[in-house]
Formats: sequence, structure tokens, C-alpha cells
Amino acid sequence: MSHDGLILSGLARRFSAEAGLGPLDLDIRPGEIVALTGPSGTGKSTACRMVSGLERPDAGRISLGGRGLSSLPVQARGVAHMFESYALYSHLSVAQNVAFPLLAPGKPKLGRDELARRVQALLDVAQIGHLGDRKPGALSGGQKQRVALCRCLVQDAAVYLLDEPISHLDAKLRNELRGWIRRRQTGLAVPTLWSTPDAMEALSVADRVAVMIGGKIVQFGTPEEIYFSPATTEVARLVGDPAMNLIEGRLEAREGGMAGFRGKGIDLALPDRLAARLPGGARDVVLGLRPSAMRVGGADASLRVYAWEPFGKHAIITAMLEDTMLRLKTPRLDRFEANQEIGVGIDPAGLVLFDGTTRRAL
Amino acid sequence: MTEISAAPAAADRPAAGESYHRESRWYPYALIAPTMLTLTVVALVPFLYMGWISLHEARYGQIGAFAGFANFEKLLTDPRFWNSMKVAGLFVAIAVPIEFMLGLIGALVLSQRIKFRSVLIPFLFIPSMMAPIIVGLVWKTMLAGSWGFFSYNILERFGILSGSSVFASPDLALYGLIFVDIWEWTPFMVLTFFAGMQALPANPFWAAQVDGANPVQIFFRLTLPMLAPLLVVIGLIRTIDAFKVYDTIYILTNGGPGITTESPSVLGYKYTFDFWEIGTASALAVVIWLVFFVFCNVFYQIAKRRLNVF
Repeated sequence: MSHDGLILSGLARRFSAEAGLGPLDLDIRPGEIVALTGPSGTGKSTACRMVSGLERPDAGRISLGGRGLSSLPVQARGVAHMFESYALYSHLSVAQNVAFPLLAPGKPKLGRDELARRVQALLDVAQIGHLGDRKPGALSGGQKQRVALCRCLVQDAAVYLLDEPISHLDAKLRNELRGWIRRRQTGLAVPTLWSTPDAMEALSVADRVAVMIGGKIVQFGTPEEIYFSPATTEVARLVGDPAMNLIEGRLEAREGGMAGFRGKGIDLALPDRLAARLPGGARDVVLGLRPSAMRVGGADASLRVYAWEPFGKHAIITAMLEDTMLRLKTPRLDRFEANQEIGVGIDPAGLVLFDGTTRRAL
Repeated sequence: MTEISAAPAAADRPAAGESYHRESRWYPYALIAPTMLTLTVVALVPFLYMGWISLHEARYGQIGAFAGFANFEKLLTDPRFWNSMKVAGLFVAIAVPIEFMLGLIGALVLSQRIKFRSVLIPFLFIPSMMAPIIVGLVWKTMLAGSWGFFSYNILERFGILSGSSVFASPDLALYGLIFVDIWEWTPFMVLTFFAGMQALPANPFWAAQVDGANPVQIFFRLTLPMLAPLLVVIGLIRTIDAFKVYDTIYILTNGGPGITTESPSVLGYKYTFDFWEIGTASALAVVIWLVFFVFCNVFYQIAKRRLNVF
């Protein structure tokens, strides 16, 4: 792999005998946004810190624009890093915070007016234009996060690292800024790494998504690949809102070359599309079932309602299939009571199968 | 309070037995009473009494008739008083900035994860842990004429002073005292500033590196402003303390040669116990207090507005 973007190859960091990160292999092309997603504590921030040079990898290479970064000091890497912890300068005003990276030595000298104009333009987009004179201590968490975002995006960097850039904003602002940042970053000729624990955010902003679990990248692909063909049950459990339901059971050969799935309280004939891809013979499998692939009013399985959450144009029903908890998304707006028995129909198009032991997609 | 102390032991106590009430408006006063009482007895009463004496004829332990501002007039027309202010002013103006700079440099060096840091730090405590009298005696010996360790090995060798102590020279005695003060207080400044630097949050420093700031910029644009409250308070305390210097001067020169190293504290002592002019001594103490009262207030206002601390 070779292009002018950011390339991490075999990047690894050991913390102790058990805990470590990597080896990570990841590449981001110029103008591309790659999202790094995974549960908290999996090493997303550490990966960002290794790129910016705040943390030393034990092994592996980082190259940016064709040259190795590993031997360069932090200041010389041309990285714009937005920290998850914001890392604002508490003694400087919001405007001074945002202007700080533009005043670093070696950066092109900007006139006072030009500097103020660039800072103000970004603050306005983030809807904190009126707070320029405040100190970070006088801001709310979401406002601080936007200051940190502005301080990162104001730079003409060779790579942008956005570590959870919009996670503490309210939903409305998050939606606005998500689109704005994506539009801006894809218009640049440099790579952007966007880290977020929210897999749906990752799918929506990125050109490609790397799913990181336990310090390793378990799947790296387009949002469609991640969403429609999760590589493992762990990825499946992370992606989707709500995430995919997983049901343990057995794969069985049926008459006429067909295949079927039998689990506790459920017996399904699998579509030819799936059956054709499967190796023959009975085996333990995990069935992945999207919440939207089940509809209320069918005869494929019988569930007992556990909770019902209406969201306006759809509702989420949590229900028990014997002892497996499932979530389904329904457009029906009628009320469901706890312990009510409901029959569901299953749309075979939304099914994914995983191996019962390796937990990898079949 | 019932919610907090609803433990079994408190639960069976009768409600009527609750002899104290946290909500009582006297409770806060009860809490600060011991401190206020101690301060009143050991600080406020003696101070007020001294102010009262300064307005009376007081000599040889006898307090006589009301004298108005006669004591102050006598003090302010005494050239020795103005000399002492000059001595202390020079002492502060040279010693404190040097201690401050060396303290900052030392703290920066200590912050660099140097080797043997844990061995070095206890040694740095030694000068500030020693009684000032001992510090004086140590340096009296070290800088003694001809045979003192320092005099013999350094000063004599380079022909700076021959056969006499630094403290015997009217021109150099004050600088000798300043040197001793720097020796005594720089380690304290190093440790205080080092502790302050350790307490600073780490992530703005990461951000500054990534933002491209070099170490010099990081020091002036992050470390110093973030340390400002500590620097201001320590600088103020050290200034006041250095102005009141007494013990080391008493041991090393007792204000001499002549009156070239006579600080206000030493002069106050002499007024009281050498000349028995207790009224004038009290007036001196009141004047010094007034000077610092004004100085601290002005300083506080400047620090508040210009440096954004407090």
C-alpha cells in the first residue's frame, strides 16, 4: 500500500504483559475520512497519540505524505490533534485558544485582522462566536468541546486527528456539525482520522471505518461492509441502533438442499442466498438478526415483551425469546404492555450467520 | 442531619437530645472561634497595644504621658531609619529576584526527570529546615577572614579580600548577607515552584506541542501564566519576609560595619533593647506595618487586574 496519505503499518504499543495495542494496520488517503470506532478503553486515543508523537510506539511505522513520522518531534509532524479531554489553555480566552496553533514558530505569519477573521469564522460555525472573550472555565462541556474542535480545524495541517470531536454535544448540534465537518474535511487534500465510540457516528461520517476491539482492528472497510457484513459477532454487537440481535443455535441441513437454523424457541428456513455460501453439515452458529428485520405480527417466533419505547415515528420493543433478549424496531405505534405475547415475522434478507466457536462471519 | 447520621448509633438517640444544630447561625462562628481567639491573643492585642505605646512617651519600660505623633516625628527625622529602609530595600531588590529566577530554573531542571532527583530533593530541604541562627553561624565560619573555608579557598585565592571577612567590609557586607539569604531561600523556591509545576494539568502541554509550540514558547505562554497565582503569592511572601530579615544579620554583622547592614528589624531591636526607646521602636513597627499594608493592597490589585490571578 502506498499513497500520499497517512499509513500505519504494524503499529504496536505494549502496556503490560496482558494489555497492549495493535499491531495496527490502517491507511487514510488524502481527502479521506477514516473513522476509528470501538468501545471505550480499546486504544483509540492511544492510536491518535502515537500519530501525533505524544506516545512512542514499540513497533511499527507511521508515514505521512510518503515520509516516515516516527523520528520527527511532535512539533514538526504537522498534525492537528483534537483531544478527547479538550486540553484547553485555561488562562487564555476562547479566541486566544483557537489562535494558539496559528502563532507557532514556522507557521506562516498572519496579519492581526486575518488571524481574528479566521478564528471568528470557525467560532461562528461552531455557534460559539459570541464566547470569544470568555475563559474556558466559564464554558459548559459542550462549548469547551467546540473550542477544542475549532482549535484543531483552524490549522492548515498535514493530517487531522479528531478524538471524539462531537460526543459531548446535544443531538441537534451534533447532527449539524457532523455534516459540516465531513464536508469540510473531504474538501481538503489531507487525511482525517475520526475516533468515536459511537459506531453509527462512524458509519455516517467516514469513507471507511476501522472497528477496534481489545486493541486490535477487527474490521476495516466501507460503512456498508461494516453495517451489512460485520466480520465478527463483536462488530455486530457494536454497530446499529439498536445493535444486531444475536441468537445461539445450530445450522441444520434440510431436505431439498435447503438449510435451516434451530435455536431456543425459533426454527427458521434460511434463504438460498445464505445456504449456498455455507459449508455443509450441522454445526453451532450464531444468527445475527437486525432489529428492523423483524416485524410484529408473524409466525416465525413468539416473544414476550419486556419493554416498549416509543420514539415517535418508530418504537423499539425489547422482548424475550425464551432466555435471549432481542430488540426490534417497529413502525407500529400501538402500545405494547410488559409480558404481552407477540408473534414476529422475520425478513430473511437481513440475516447474518457467524460461526459458533470462532464468532467470525460465515 | 438526620439523613446523614441515620446510622444505628445515632438512630436511637432521642430527638430532644440533639444539643447542637448545624443550621444554627452561630455554628460557623463557633467553628472559627478557636482560630480567632488565638489570633486575637497573640497578634491583634499585642499589635493594638504597640500602636497605643507608639502614641505615648515610653522609655526604659515606663509608659508615660500621651505624646501624639512625637515618636513618629522622631523616627522619621532619624537618618538611621531611612538608612535601614534603604538597606532592606536593596536587600529585597537583589535577593528576591535572584531567588525567584534560580527557583524557576531549578524547578524546570527538576521537572526534566533528571537522574538522582529523589536523592536531590531531600538535600534541597536542608537550608530552609535549618534555624536561621544556625545558617548565620555556618556562614560566619565559612566566610571568616583568612581561614574560612570560602574565604581561604576562593576569595583569598583570587585576591578579592585579604585577611578580613566579607562582613567586615562596609562595601561588601550587605552583599555577603544577600548571598547567605539566597543560599538559604533558593532551595525553598525551587521546591515550591517544582511542586506547583507538578500540579499543573498535563494535557494543555500535549496540546501545545501538537500545536507546534517550542519549549521556550511553552514556558512563557503556558507554564508561567498557569503558575502565576503561585508565583505571585510566593513572591509576595518572600518579599515581605526578606524585608523583615533579622536573624542572619544579627548573627553575622549585627547591622555593621557601622550601620551599613542595619535592616528595620535590627534597628527596631536596637531601639528597644540597646537604647530603650520603646516608643520609637513601636512607631517603627507601625510604620513598617503601614508600608506593607499599602504595598500588599496595591500588589493585590495589580495582580488581580494585570495577571488575572486571585
